[in-house]
Order: sequence, then structure tokens, then C-alpha cells
Amino acid sequence: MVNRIKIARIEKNLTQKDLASRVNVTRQTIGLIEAGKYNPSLKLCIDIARTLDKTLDELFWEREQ
Amino acid sequence: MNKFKKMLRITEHDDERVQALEYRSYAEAGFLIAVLSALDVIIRGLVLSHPLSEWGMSLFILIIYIIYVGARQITMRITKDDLLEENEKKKNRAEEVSALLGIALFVIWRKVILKESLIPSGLLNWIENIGVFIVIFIVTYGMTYLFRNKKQSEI
Repeated sequence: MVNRIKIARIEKNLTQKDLASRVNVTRQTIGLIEAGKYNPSLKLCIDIARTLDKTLDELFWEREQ
Repeated sequence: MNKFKKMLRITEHDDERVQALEYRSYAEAGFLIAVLSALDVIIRGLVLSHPLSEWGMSLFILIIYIIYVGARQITMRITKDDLLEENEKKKNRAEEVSALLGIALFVIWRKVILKESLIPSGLLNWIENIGVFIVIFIVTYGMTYLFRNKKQSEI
């Protein structure tokens, strides 16, 4: 799954650990989500989007080229 | 209530990914124990005919596992009856009927015709009985399949 969490996180000046503690998961989970190796639940997607002040579309929607 | 629910959880993590992996590891361990118990029951109980006191605990564990899994599937609404469509349910029921019919015919064959005990003894006898059971099952399944098709074409 393509996502722009890493860019949004860096824009917000957060480390993976910061983001992880804010959404109540481990740093490894954030790393896996950013690498596209774990599909988070909708609840976690919403928590991440809220924390990064983005919409779900901005973070997860794959735009057509 | 939430605190009570939290106490009953078998995981201490809040991370959904870690939770899912933990639950999976517990489920795999439970399944492994059930398989080992089943093997113990089959080998020591049925094939080698050892006394019940030797393999009784395995049988008990296996029964508890089956009851627990069955009960959880009912409460979580993931049984076949919950998931299948109406036509699929009918097909499933027909398969169950043919399996039960097969078992009944097998029991009649062993007890009434051969006048032997229900559990085969010795490897050859086991192989022979499994073969017979497969033949009986194919016949009963074929009959229920034909019966269903005939009924559907009449409708």
C-alpha cells in the first residue's frame, strides 16, 4: 500500500517513535506502515491522519498517474 | 466494564499489529496442542488400544478445544450457517447428510454384517476400513448429489 505518512511525519517534525507514542502503537509498526509492509486498521489510519493533521485521502489515496 | 474487559485480555499490548501477532501465536500453539492430542488419541487409543487412563487427558484436552472453538465461532457468528448463502447452505447440508449416512452405513457394515467391533485392529484392517469408508462416502455423496439435482430440475 502506497502512503505518504513518512513525508507528512517529517513535515510535522516528528520521529517514528513520537508518532508511535501518539497513536498508541510501537515504533516498528509505524516503520512497517511507512514501508508499505503492514496494512493498518481504519481506526489506526484515522488516528495517524488526525495526529499528522492530514486527511485519509492525503495520506493513503493512490492518485492516478 | 472496559477495565474488566482489559483484565480478561490475553495480550498486554495496545498495538493492533502486535496484538494480532500475539493472538495468532496463541492460536497456533492451541492448534498444535489439539493436533498432538488428536494424534495421541488416535495412536495410543485407537491403533495401539492402550488403556483409557494413558490417553484420557489428551482426549479431554481435545474435547475442551473443540467445544471452545465451536462456542467461540457461534458467539462470533462465523459458523457456516452465518456465512453461507441460502443455496450454499443447502449444498452444505446435503454434504453433511451424505457424511452422516456414510458413517451410519459404515457402522451397519461393521456391526451387523461383519459382526466386528467398530474400531479396526491392525494396519491392514485400518487401511481396508478407510477404503470401504471412502467408497461408502462417494456412493452416498453421489446419491445425495443426484437427488438434489433431480429435485432442482423438478422445480
